[in-house]
Amino acid sequence: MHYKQSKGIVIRRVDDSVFLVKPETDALFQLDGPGSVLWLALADPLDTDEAIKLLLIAFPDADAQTVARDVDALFKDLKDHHLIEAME
Amino acid sequence: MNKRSIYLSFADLRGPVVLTGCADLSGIIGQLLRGWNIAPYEGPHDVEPVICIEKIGTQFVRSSRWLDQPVGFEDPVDAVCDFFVDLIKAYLDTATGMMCLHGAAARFNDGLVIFPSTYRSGKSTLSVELARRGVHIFSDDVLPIENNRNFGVAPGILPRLRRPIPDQTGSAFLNFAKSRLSAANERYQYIDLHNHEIAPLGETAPISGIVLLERDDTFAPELRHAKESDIVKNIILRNFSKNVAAADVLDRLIEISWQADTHILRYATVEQAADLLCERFGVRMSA
Repeated sequence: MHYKQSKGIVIRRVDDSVFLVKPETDALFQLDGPGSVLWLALADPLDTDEAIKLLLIAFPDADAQTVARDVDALFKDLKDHHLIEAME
Repeated sequence: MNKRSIYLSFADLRGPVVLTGCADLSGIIGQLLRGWNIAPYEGPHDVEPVICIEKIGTQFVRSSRWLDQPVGFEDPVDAVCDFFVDLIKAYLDTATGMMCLHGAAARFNDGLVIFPSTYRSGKSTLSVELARRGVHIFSDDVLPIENNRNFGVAPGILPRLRRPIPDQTGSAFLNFAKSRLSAANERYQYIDLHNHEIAPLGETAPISGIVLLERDDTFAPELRHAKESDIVKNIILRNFSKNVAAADVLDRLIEISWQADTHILRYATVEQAADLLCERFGVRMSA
């Protein structure tokens, strides 16, 4: 399943962090490091396998299993907070 | 027995503060505030009070629209300390789009430097030490941020030290704190700053520095540059005003941090911290 950033999210980049606001709920989120890289990549549709490959290119020293676990957790978080939406 | 109520106006609040059976609290309140123009309320009588405090038995019981249920305090100084929480919220309601950060602020030569609050970081002790050295204090606890220019706004409340004052504090500080003792109880003591040492309610200044305090006695004291994202993350967590939409808060805090000199201050004693700050930002001697 591919996902993409949900519409209407306010996005601000500061250094290597990304701050997100969901205007409907006024909830504020911050993503650092790999999370911010992944968020920016989610401007276009992406699935978890592609996300893992992307992060292993961006962070070549990272452990593949750890990256896979982190990507799953991040996708779950982003979905739970409706920050990303599944593509048809 | 009927209790007497007094109706007081504070600055531009939208209604009176009512003290019932505890008129003597107004003496403590007045002693601790600067620039609030406390006076008998002469506005329309159909206006709902913004805050009510009633002496019920041994307790000072406060109610306001910011409280889900009334809260009570045995000790009058505790009652006044907590009353200030609602007083600031009432003040924030007087101006559209005012934010408020939990933290201290002092005006140096280079402008207003803010110290976002972290747990037991010593911001009140630092504020008093800076005042002792002639730096103009804006706040030791909360800092409203005005809407148009994002300037800091003085809340006009005297600094409050937690008791006991740490053993390693220098004698100059201890003597100052002793000579300027204001309202106090077992847990807290307010420090009586003169009018030229503390900004009254409503005084504004541009924010030129943001310093995160890090109390640590295992390394040498230092003032080092802080990443802007760390500053934004930190001050977002210190904003407690619900009057401004989160996206606007984020944009305003990013703008403030862009314009400010951002640092992390690691220190063991308040004297070390004040030395580094005065060296970096310059001392604006009180008039």
